[in-house]
Amino acid sequence: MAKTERKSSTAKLRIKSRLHVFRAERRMTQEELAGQIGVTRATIVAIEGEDYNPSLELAFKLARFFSTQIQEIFSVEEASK
Amino acid sequence: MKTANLDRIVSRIFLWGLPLVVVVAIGNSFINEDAIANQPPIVQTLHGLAGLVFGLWMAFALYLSARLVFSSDIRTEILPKLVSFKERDEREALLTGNATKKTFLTTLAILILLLCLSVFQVSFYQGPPEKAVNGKNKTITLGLGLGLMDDAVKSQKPVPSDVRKVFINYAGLPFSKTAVILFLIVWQVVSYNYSMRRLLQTGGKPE
Repeated sequence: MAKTERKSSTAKLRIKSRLHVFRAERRMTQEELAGQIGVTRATIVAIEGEDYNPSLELAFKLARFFSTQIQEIFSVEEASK
Repeated sequence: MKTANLDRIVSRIFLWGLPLVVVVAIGNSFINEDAIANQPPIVQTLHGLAGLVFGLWMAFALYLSARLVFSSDIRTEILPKLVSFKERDEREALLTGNATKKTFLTTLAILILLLCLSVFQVSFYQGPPEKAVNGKNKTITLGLGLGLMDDAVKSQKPVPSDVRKVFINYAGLPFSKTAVILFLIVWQVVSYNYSMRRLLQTGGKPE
């Protein structure tokens, strides 16, 4: 039991992003969103492509901008090996 | 003049002057200092000018190295100049960190290699027939010339003076201390620059 718990806590996690959905709902370009949040377009591209996990601060900024909760934009799943 | 402005100017002079210093150093290795006196005045003037430029660059480099040790502001300031790239957000700060890590590790690898190459000594030679043992007069010697002072290592001569033929004689790095240090400085700048550009091209994805 304890072994299973330890395994689940050390398993590699993958952050899934729904940022592109929120952005599309607002009919915003990546450039516009980047300008509003104060990051580069490349960072928005990387977050949407799930190549970059934003910091908590940036995640909160994005959630606040879209007036939602962080977990609505970002979810987590166990990474397949 | 404010210190920040001075730092900015000095860091630019250092970086822009670095290729020139490398060119002067390479040129100097082909020039015989005694032969300069017999050259036309224009060559002598150019040689003197190169020395003056190098002297000035050295003074700026000394100032910069002292500031780099003691001031965290200039460390933050000079990094974007090394790659002509300014961190605009947290992702780019992460890329800068990755490039720095890569440069640190590759430089460490080069330093270890240079250490090995500088201490390793090997020689393979044919001795005189009268010193042959069981009819064999070829000798191979391996050694480690580990010494903190340069003279201690140089004084170790693995090949005796009365050998007939020397096939291999390697006794440490053939480059001067200046050449090695200059190479390491250029390596640091070029490696950081290359790593940063690669990371930007790949969007920061691990290669």
